[in-house]
Amino acid sequence: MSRTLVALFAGALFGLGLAISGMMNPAKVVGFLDVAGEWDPTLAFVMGGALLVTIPAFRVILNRPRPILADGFALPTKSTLDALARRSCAVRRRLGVVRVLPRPSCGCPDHGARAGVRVRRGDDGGDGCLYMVLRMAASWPRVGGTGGS
Amino acid sequence: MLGAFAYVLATAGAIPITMRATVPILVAAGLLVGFGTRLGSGCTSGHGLCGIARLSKRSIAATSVFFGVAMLTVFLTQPVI
Repeated sequence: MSRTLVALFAGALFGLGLAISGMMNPAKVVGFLDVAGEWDPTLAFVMGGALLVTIPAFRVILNRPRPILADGFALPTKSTLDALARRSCAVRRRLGVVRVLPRPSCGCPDHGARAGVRVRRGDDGGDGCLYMVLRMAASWPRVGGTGGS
Repeated sequence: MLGAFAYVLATAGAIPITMRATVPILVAAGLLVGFGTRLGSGCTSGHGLCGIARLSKRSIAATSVFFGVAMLTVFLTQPVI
């Protein structure tokens, strides 16, 4: 019973927070994601504010021997990057959003040990920030010697 | 939803909500969100708030990827003004 009440309270508080921050309005969320257009960065403060709470709170809570209302913490067990990043990279490759190029055989430093990533569509060369995010995200799993796409 | 509902009631519907997408698009987008959440083993809040708070590398990678892809999607789908 108390578990249900706490869950109800937490959910309602979360929903209230989303509503107050304006995230019920799709246009607001699109404005945050529209980095190339009229970017509205205010939602970053919502995320930042939430992390200001969760980062210290998780430290305190996970240092306790057990939760108050349950027998144990249910935490993800995987901690390595491989499976997740490889899979999401494969999906993005299939969608044609990014393409992991095979490692070139030439010895020039620019085409060195790392698999290169090219944004196929929508890359006008002027959107360095977005390109970097994608490049960082997609270059995590090395496509070593498998021939990439 | 209760919290958001209460907020809408309390503010007497003063919140601006601009919806451009049509119903089929919304359904398709919802299915993609569900599929991606399963595939990535977590949603925006799960990875972005809980995972980052645990300093999980997988969550930080997932958050970068889904924000990056979301920004790219907006970039590709929004009409250039």
